[in-house]
Amino acid sequence: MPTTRAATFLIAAITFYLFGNQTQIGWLYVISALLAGLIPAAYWLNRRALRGITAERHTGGGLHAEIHEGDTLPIRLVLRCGHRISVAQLEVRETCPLAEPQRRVIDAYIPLIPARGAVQLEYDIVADRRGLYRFPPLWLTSRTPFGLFRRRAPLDVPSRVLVYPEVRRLERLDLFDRQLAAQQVFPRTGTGSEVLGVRPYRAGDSPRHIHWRSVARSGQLITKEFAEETRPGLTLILDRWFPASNDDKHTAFEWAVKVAASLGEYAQRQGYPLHLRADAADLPVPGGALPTDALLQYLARVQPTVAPGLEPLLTGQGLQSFVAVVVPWPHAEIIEALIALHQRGFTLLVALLNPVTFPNASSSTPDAVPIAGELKAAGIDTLALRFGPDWMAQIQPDGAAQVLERPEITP
Amino acid sequence: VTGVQHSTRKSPEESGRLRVLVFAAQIVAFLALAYVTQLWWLWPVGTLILAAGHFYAYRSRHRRGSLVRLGTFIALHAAILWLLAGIFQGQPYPQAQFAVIVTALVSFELRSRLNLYSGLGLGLINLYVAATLSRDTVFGVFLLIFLGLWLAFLWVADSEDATRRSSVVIRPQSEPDRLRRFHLRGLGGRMQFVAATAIIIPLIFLFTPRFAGRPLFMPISLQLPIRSNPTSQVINPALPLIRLQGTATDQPGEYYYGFADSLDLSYRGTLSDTLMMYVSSPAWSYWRGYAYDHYDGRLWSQSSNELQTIRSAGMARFSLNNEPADDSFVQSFYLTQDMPNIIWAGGEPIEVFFAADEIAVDTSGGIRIGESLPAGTVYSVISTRQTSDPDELRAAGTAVSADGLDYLQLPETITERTRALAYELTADASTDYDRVIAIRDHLLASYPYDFFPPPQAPNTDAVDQFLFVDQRGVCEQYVSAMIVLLRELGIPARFVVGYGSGEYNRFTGYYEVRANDAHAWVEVHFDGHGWVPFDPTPGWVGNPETGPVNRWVFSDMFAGVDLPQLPLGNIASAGAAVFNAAVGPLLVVIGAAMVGMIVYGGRLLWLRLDARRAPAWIRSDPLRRQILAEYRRAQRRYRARRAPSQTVQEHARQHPELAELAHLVDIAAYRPSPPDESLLTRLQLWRHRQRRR
Repeated sequence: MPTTRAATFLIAAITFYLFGNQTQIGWLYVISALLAGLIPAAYWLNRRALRGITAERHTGGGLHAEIHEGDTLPIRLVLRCGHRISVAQLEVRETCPLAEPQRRVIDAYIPLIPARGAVQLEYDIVADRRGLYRFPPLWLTSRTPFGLFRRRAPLDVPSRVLVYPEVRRLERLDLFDRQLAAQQVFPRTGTGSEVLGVRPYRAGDSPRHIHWRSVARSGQLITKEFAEETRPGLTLILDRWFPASNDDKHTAFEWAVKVAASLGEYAQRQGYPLHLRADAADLPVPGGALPTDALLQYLARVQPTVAPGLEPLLTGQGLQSFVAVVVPWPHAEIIEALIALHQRGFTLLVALLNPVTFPNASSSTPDAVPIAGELKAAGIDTLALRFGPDWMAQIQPDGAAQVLERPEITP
Repeated sequence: VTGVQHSTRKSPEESGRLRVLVFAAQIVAFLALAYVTQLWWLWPVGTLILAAGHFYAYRSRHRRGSLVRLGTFIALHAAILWLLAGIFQGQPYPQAQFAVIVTALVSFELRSRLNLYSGLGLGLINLYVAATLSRDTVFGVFLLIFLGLWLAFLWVADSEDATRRSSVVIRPQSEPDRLRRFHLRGLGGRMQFVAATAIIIPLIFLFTPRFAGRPLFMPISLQLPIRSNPTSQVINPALPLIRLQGTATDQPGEYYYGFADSLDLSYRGTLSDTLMMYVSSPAWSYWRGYAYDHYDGRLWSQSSNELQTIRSAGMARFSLNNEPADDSFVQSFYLTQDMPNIIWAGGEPIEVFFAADEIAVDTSGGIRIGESLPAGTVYSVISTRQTSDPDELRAAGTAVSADGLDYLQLPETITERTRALAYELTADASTDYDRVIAIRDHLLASYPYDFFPPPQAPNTDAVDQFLFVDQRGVCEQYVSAMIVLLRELGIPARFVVGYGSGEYNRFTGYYEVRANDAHAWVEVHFDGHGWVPFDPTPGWVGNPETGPVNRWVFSDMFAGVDLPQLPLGNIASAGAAVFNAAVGPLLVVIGAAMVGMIVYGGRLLWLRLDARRAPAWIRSDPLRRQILAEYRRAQRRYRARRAPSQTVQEHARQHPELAELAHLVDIAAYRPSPPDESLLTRLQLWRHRQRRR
């Protein structure tokens, strides 16, 4: 694309040409030809300015990475020139989608990539928000030579970073502990769906449960052994309905995800099978007892829905005896369903995020306190969590669990 | 990772490298001007002022520098006066002096990037002036250096802009420090760029059509005009010296002894290689002076002293009686040596542009003025091509000229063997044209050229001695012989003197005409075609009619090829006519606009000054005046001008560095009682802190 400089050169060339015409002075034709000749030469060279450039992005040592929100991720971007002609005056725009908005765009200038050489850009980014991020293409811009033309092209460097939500380590959660203290924390074999291990095949075992890899290894029939699921487990229900904007990092939905992750992690740490329920309209919910990383992978991706979908999850079907419900946008319609569930014998913990305490709240933003009051009046353990750095303290009011540690995640 | 710096083209330019490159480019332009004008003092003077200007501009790039700006403004106007005085008083190359002075003065204002671009533009204008004065290819060296510096400027500017725009600069680990410093390595295939430009630029140069019509402004010298009345006498500035030299010495002279009232065939001598003039012309031609018609056996002279005087038709334009033709061409003559009072012209002149009150045309078509022409004179001539078709000339035959002169005159000294030779050579020729060609070709083929033929024997006919005794000679012997032979056959012919075309320089576009290009040739009068030139001298052009009008740089190489003719000349002529018609009203409009702008500017200035005037009760107190003046200075220094709608305190809230002073201003402006000593002390403290800062 020609720049104003090219137009200036052209105008100057035409001017000198006209003066040459008027004066019949040969040097003016020469100057005109020099100025005019630079334009096509520069165009020709500018067309080739971005050829042969390749790039690789290493996120935390590999092409893809998985980290937690708030973690620092080292990124290394390597640009190579595959040509035998060096690349000069290259401008690169790298957009790092997981960085906070004001640090998301990095404009880098590369005076020179030597022929068949490379340069690299290393930078650290603090993951701003959970999510699955794919890097957009790099934008390469070159005005070489002499800024008469500008060539701009995208360069796709596929990289993916999965940012788990922030998980705060709860040291003690009275509500859980009170309800589950008498439960056996060691796993028992049974007819559940969670695989505890393998054992030799016995008559009557289902052939569908034969573990063929072990059969091949040992030469005898081996079958999978499942956990006994008749004991109480935890069903974590996340209400995805959030009718407000979720563009900000600090919304009730985002905090609901953090609360869900922390509760799930605590339950896992205590050794109880964890089951997850949520609206599966656009994102499948993993079934069965989940390990922590599966829970976090789901929570990293989950996004709010525009239609309410909590009530169908509270019918009691398939729920464990202990149910934790996290609601980012509390509304009166859920009260009845929760009370009904409670009356059917399920032990409930309801964590209501109070949206009115969050930034960008408007007059139509609901207040969770009255709903929490009604639920408490019905005998349901209910938390109304307000926005602020002390949300952990709100869950465990004795303040004993202010430790902010993150669990080890197996990618 | 660095912070992104935002700047505009009008922000103060911090880059020292860019300033150095602009400075270097301007110096090269100065050098080019000094070289082409040979005014060598221009370079050191211009460079000194330029260096001071650049230094000052860099140091004060964040300040307004009103005083210096005012000084520059006044100096620029003085330079314009200098230019006008130079033009009308005949100073050497006033335009070159003006270009250097203006560029040097403007360098005091090179504060921003935009200013630096302007500085380069001024350098280019300097080169333009140099190009108009350049007569050789050395100018190309300056041009290439300037262009290289310009491109380096653009490269560095782009690099620095990109660095400023970016939050991070990435460099290869192995890049050597010295290359990293200049960023000039890796022009992205610089060899390819050089190769591309080396191909494209000559192609554009070669295939750029050239205008051969009438330019809007004819080059002429303004430092004349010549007030004397034209005279029939040919005033040759060095003729006495030449006559002495011409007779018996082999010392080359600079002036052809033929440029006089008469031409003596007994003179001998050579001419030097001195450059006499440059001629800019789109068509090849001999540069004709005038013609002799009378021959007495040794001496050629003009039998008539009659002159037809022509007065200027305005704007130094003289219209001759010749009818204009379609294929006219413009020649501009730049004299480098003093010349006779003859206006040289190629082809058949139609119009002459010359700074004189009147000119005259003699009976041979030669154009005369009242005085010899000093070196440096520039004039222009529009001519039609002098060309004819041999078949038409054969059919037309020759005829007696209508001017009443006897172009068949022969002296008694003509020998019988000369007369016999004329018939013998043309025995096979059936037409006059064929006879002319037969005689010309015989002379071309049979007589070797010799700068020093033997001396003319007493009481002999010069033509007879050349044809039968010496059988060698210079152009006037060949021409005399051809005319005598033609006249013997009843063909009217005359002896023309002037200059050959000279050597053509394709880059400069000039014919370089030297002293030894002075020449003589023959003109034969054909019925209905007028005087047709022929040249019987070996080594010259046998048929010296005007060449084709070149519309491409190498048109002459393709003279035999029927290339498409672009009607640019007509278009440009039409444009010129429109311009000429519009120039009067346009000047009025421009003049009115300038007056309007001056009035408007004056009003703005007055309003601004008036707004700055404090009320009388403030002006009456010196301390109040001091405080307010300090406040104005501080606003300039911090580039924090207070908006008219702002109070002093509102302004101070925006610029906390002015808060203390704003408090003093409030007291000085609004407290009814005059300021006391404590206020003065606080003001002095403020100043002291500012100085330390």
